[in-house]
Amino acid sequence: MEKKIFKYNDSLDNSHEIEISEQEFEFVQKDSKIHDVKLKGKPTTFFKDSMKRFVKNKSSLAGGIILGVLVLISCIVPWAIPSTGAYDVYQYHTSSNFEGISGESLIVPKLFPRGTGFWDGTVSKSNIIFNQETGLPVGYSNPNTIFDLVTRDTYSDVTSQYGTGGYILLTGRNSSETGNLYENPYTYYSYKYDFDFSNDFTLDYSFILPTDNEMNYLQNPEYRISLMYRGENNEMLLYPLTGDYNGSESIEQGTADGFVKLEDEEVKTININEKIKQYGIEKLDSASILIDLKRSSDEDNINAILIKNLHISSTNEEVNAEISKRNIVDGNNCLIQPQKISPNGISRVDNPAYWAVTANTQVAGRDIKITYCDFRFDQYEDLYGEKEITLNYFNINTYQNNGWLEYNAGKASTDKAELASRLTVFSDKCPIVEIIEQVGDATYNPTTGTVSGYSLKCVVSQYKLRGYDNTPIFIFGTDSNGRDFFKLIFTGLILSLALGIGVSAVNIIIGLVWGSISGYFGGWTDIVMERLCDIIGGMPSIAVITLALIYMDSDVIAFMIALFMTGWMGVSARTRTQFYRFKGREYVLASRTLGAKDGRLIFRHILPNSLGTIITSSILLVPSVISSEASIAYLGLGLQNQILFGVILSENRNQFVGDTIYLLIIPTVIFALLLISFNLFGNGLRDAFNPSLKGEE
Amino acid sequence: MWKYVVKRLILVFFTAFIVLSITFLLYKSLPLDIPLAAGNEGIMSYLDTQVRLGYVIRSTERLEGFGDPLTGKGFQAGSITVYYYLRPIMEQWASWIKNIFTAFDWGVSSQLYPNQSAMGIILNRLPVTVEINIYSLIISLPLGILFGIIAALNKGKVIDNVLNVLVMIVLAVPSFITILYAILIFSYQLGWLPDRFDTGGEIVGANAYLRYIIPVFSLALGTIAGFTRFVRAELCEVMSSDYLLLARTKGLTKRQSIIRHALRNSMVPVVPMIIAEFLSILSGSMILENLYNIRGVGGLYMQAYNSRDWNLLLANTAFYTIIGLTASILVDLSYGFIDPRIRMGAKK
Repeated sequence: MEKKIFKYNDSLDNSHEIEISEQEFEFVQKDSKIHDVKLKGKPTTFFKDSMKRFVKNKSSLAGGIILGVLVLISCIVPWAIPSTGAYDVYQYHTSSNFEGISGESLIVPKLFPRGTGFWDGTVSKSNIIFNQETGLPVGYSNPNTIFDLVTRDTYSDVTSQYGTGGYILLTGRNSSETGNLYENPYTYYSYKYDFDFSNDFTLDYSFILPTDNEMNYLQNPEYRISLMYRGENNEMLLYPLTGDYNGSESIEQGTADGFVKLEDEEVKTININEKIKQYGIEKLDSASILIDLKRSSDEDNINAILIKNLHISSTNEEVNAEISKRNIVDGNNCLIQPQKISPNGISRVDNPAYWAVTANTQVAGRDIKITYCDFRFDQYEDLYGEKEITLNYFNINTYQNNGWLEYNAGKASTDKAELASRLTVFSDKCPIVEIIEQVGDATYNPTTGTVSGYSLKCVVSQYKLRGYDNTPIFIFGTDSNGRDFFKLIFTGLILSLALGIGVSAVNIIIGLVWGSISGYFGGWTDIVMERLCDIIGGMPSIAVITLALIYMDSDVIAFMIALFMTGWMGVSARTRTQFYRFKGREYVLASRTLGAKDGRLIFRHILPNSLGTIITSSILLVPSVISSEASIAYLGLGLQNQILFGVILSENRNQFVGDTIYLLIIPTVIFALLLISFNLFGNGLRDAFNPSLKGEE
Repeated sequence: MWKYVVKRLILVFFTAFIVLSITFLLYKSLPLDIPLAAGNEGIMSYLDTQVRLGYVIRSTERLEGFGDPLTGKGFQAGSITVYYYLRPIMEQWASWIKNIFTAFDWGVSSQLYPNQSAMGIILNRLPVTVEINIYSLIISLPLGILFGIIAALNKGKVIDNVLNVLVMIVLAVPSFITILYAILIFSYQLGWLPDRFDTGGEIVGANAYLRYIIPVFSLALGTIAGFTRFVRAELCEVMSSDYLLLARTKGLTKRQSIIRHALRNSMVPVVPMIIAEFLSILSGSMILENLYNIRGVGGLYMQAYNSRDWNLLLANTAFYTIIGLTASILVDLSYGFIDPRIRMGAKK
């Protein structure tokens, strides 16, 4: 049989050859009727097709998913979190009902357990003066709240630079302990060293006159070292250790003048006990050495002495170890300087090692160690951990009424065991952890049966006190009004979205009706309606909002009216275009020929055809409402204190620095995310629903 | 063509007229704002200006039919007592129209700068706004067009996608967030730039120049993004047109065809956009001026609102309305003038 060779190119431009005989060739559909055969492929609707195209667009899909997640969170969060304490976003929690317990404002965000260093509810604090005595930074009292503590020593003269407040630790450079400061009746200060004189002591000392460039105001220094007796309430000069004691034999303080002019660097050794024995005293248990400086005869000149070296030693080993801490050894210089009469710049605090120095003080010490520290401060532990406070009797009564505890108040006591026996706790909700003391005796009122008049100093668990079941965790922290920022943001978001959707829906409806009428009827109707649009649209939107705010009492209503005034115009213009496009089509003509009225033509035939396109391209109206809301609040026109997302954004616009910067960053990031995903989603939806882009890849 | 221009101009004129009249009537229906803090003399001089402008009647005796005298009392002018009465609102409106057309007088400020010409105040504030906006335009125009061209010529490639995403982000995120972050990063975290434009005092040293950076660039960012998107869309459309294919078939290289045909034609719709952008310079950015403490036109509006200075607010609204409408008409007309096809159609 004769075979022929056929050549053809396939779609990929590869050439093929087929060898076939004429008998083998046969028409597939010859004589068959295919018009009544059911289509094998599934029919698709416009909507399904659009969704298919939408899903293909990856970025739009991602935008849609992010948007969906945000909306979902904002739908769940406001209802899922119970409204206790700071979670109640409609209340401010800037103060608490309890004395000594602060409000819940500006708590930093916490997501991870403390110590991770990031998002863990801790604040980094630096350059805080460290209190050697308590082992805590000055101004902080709860050791549980402090961690990652790093201290560092700085040396400085105590001048007004640090003299603006706070505590300054006066200490030797090489020792953590210091000689006590002594304030003597002559109104100047100097170092004081306490001794137990049951052992033998020697005192080596060397003084140096500060050179002019060190302390240029020092002139004619005179010094005196005296042995003082410490009594219960007074101190008396026992023996002048320096110079000639050329006064009377009286040991009355202030009558002797043992001041010595300091010529140059001077080294002396004194055996204190020998001196005492010279004086005829056999044994002294408690005494101190006072280093005094004499004020110059010229009132304006201030004398000072730099103690270069002060060494005190004892024959007793143990005592020696103790007092050697108080030595001023080389490099451990201390400037002793008398103050002018009435040292009002300096005030003593309880522990003489610490001074509260206020401004305008003269240099009171030189080369003094000031310890600063850096640490992380746990705000949650501070605000929700255990704390010692005083609970009033009516708090206790409330707890008793709640059935949380039973407390038999009576006589005031500081005996913890006795107080504990009076307390019976029934509930986990009871905030009292431990009673320290009862302040004031209770009064029993037999007619009402109430006990009153006392208060309890006790350790309480603060989170229970504030009404929480557990220590709360604020993922986004709290704002300056003490509201949980996470819940606040998403409550604001859902309200803003609701407002946006509501306003957009109304605007779309108005725009559809307006645009339909304008586009369908055309002619004069169209011209008049278009001119009206021109006029309303010609008014700057800010002017519309301003006027609405001036005329309306409620700024939310004014805001909505302003949005209704101009918001529908875009939709109307789009609808009008669509109507111009469709109204001349054959199916409209057919329907009209069959007697359909205008209303039917508009709402049954033309509008449904263009509705999808119009609505999808109007979806960006929703975020624009949130944007305008933020703009209004930003400009300070109105909407203050409303729980709306844009308003929350604007409330925190000035949180540029410090620990509260999260208040600026979190809402702006969410807003940017929302708008970007809205745009991606909206554009994708618009493209997917646009019939003219169908089939275009 | 001219018929079209004249028709459009008349329409815009009437739109402006109606919009401004409505605004005027709405502001004048509010209780008359009088600078009460200025004392009797200040109030009198203000009211005398209102008399001159034709909003208020001055009378030496109490009049019937005009309601209570303004501020509820008479004023001593030398030996006589004068009373001020508000004219009926439509009479005020007629005086207002007359003042504008005969003297270009838009009234005086009542609270913020009592008795100063409102338009004068606005024009006083204009230089700073215009300065900042011109700088930003000078930066953003070439950059925007350049990025647009780059994106269009590399359509579908990585650089196009990156530019598209950036443009989308910049356009989606409102300007106040951009400004906030610029201030946060460059002023507070890095400390390179001042955190406000106007400090209230003399600005010396580098700050006199550095303070322009944040406002200029935050304004430029949006414009750059807008131009990039627009130019890209136009150029893409032109690139796929038949005449460009023809140019290539004639034997022109790709470079030649793009420079001689595609670019020139794609710039046609860009020009009206530039014109509109130039005009909108005048209105300034209210948010930017508020956030960065710039004493420009945008900030003035807020000041006027916060001090309840309706007269100034009215003049400001008029200023914005006229700019907006002029921009829209200029754009429409420039399309006609620039696009040769429309010009040809008009000649027939």
